Amino acid sequence: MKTKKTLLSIILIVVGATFLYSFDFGVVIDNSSSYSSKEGEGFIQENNAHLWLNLPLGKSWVFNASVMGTFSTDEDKPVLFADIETLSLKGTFPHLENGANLFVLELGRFFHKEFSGFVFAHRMDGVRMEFGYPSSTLQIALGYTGLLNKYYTSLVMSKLDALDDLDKDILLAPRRLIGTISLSIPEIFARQNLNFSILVNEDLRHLFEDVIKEGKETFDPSSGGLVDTQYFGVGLDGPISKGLFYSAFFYLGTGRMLTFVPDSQSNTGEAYLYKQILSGLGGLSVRYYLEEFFQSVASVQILYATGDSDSISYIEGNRSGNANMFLPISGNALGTAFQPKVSNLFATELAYSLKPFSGVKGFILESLQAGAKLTPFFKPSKGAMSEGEVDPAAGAGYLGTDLAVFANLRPFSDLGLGASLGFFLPNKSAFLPGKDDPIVYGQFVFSFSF
Amino acid sequence: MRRKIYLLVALIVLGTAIGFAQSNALIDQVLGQKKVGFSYATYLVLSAAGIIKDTATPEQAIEALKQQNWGISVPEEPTDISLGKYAYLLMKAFDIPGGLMYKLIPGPRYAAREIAYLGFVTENPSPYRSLSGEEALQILHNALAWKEGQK
Repeated sequence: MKTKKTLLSIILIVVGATFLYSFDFGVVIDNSSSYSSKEGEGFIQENNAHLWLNLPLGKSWVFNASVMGTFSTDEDKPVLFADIETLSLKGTFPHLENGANLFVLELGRFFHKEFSGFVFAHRMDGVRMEFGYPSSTLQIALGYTGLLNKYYTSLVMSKLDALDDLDKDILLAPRRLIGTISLSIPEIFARQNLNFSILVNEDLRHLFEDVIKEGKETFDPSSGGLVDTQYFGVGLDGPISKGLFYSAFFYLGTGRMLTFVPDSQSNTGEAYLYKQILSGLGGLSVRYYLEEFFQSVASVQILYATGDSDSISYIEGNRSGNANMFLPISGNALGTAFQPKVSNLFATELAYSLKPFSGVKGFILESLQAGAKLTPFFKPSKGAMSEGEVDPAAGAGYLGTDLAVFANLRPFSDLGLGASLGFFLPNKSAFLPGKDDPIVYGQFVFSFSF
Repeated sequence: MRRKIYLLVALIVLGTAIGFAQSNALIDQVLGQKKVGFSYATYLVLSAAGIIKDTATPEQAIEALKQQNWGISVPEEPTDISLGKYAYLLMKAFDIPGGLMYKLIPGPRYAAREIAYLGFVTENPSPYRSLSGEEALQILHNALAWKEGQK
């Protein structure tokens, strides 16, 4: 009886608060239908629904909540699955007297990324604080990923993560603690923006289950160790001249990875030892906006991520010495039909897009954006990369070229449509025999909100 | 104070360009309102759209609104306007087409979504919240700039 009363009171308070303050809510439905000629993929359709609520609480706080559900035909996923997409309480406090003129505090589940988006861009549960000073912004965030539904995540970094990812009885994502400190200094000189970022990724798996301990003398293919990583990044972006912008960044990757290596102190001559990760990721992009010519955008993007010549697989593949392959936590990738992670990779993306009907005001195709991308991929060193079809024994060299065309249209503010068609032509000598077929990929997406 | 001057200058410059001039005294009153009144908001939008003269009063603006047959319920007593109703006034007065849902169910809810999509409002786009006089003028300024861009 008491529980019922308490529950009723909570419901009344929530409903009362909802109507007392200026809340808003809505639904977004989206569909993605894709086809890939890659082995084991084929035609996949995913239909998502997102129900969101935005509830300001007083002058400073906002409560954000969003749940999402998916109907999928992907054989690697359940037919139906769902998760809390975001659930956070965010407070914004301007004009403080302690030096900062803005303080933002966010608690709960939120999306977080570092400045480049190539190392970490993911949801997590935790806390985020932002201190706004007159000439810079300092952001500190700490979060946990182990409560996310794994079917909405891309956080596989270790062998045990990969095994869990294949296990249909396991629902949650890898248990990782992510910490970031970022300092952003806008317009430090000549309208150039400077960014610094430090990320720490701590594998917490050993607190919940057994992992292979350092010193084990026999190889165990059914288990693995921890992967802890740190990233130290610096980036610069800004305008070069009218319509011409650039961004450049570099991340130094460190950490440790379990490696089965020859060991003179071992009875078997071999043992598991944690080896240092020492790697790097660099990127440069230049974009030119030509508003007058159908709102054209031409861009060049170059990415370089170090590899490890003795690595036999992307996941815990180090065989000797330091692990030099750059290992992102979860981030963006280039390409359409072929989308390798930023590990042991050199890629150059040339892209051009325009809005052919941008001058016809009020026309239903006014927002149509059409474009093409050409992305040659190279492997900078011998060894593995994220795509298992690539031969780890093949030396550095050309991997193949991804060519894609795409179109996006938003005929109404609440309806979006998109289509892309990609074709990857591999360099057969860089791929494993039988895994070297060209890849055709097509995708159609639509989203509707109400 | 600087923001107030900026808003006034922006409105006067833009107003001159498209052939209307708001009464400075009324704009002063609007700028002083923490929650802009329904009649003042109606005056701002209808005079900016050229439906009433800028020498009209907020009460005359309400009378003009009643004659528009836009399906907007006009309050009998002086009251504040919500962001949704202000957005709906803008949509009707400036003939902003709106999204699919607005076409199906025209009203404050989807009008607020539309002006947020067009970038007229940058803060909380909840249709049920109130807005200050300064924000109402800023949104109107953005709507006028959008209208200019459509020509």
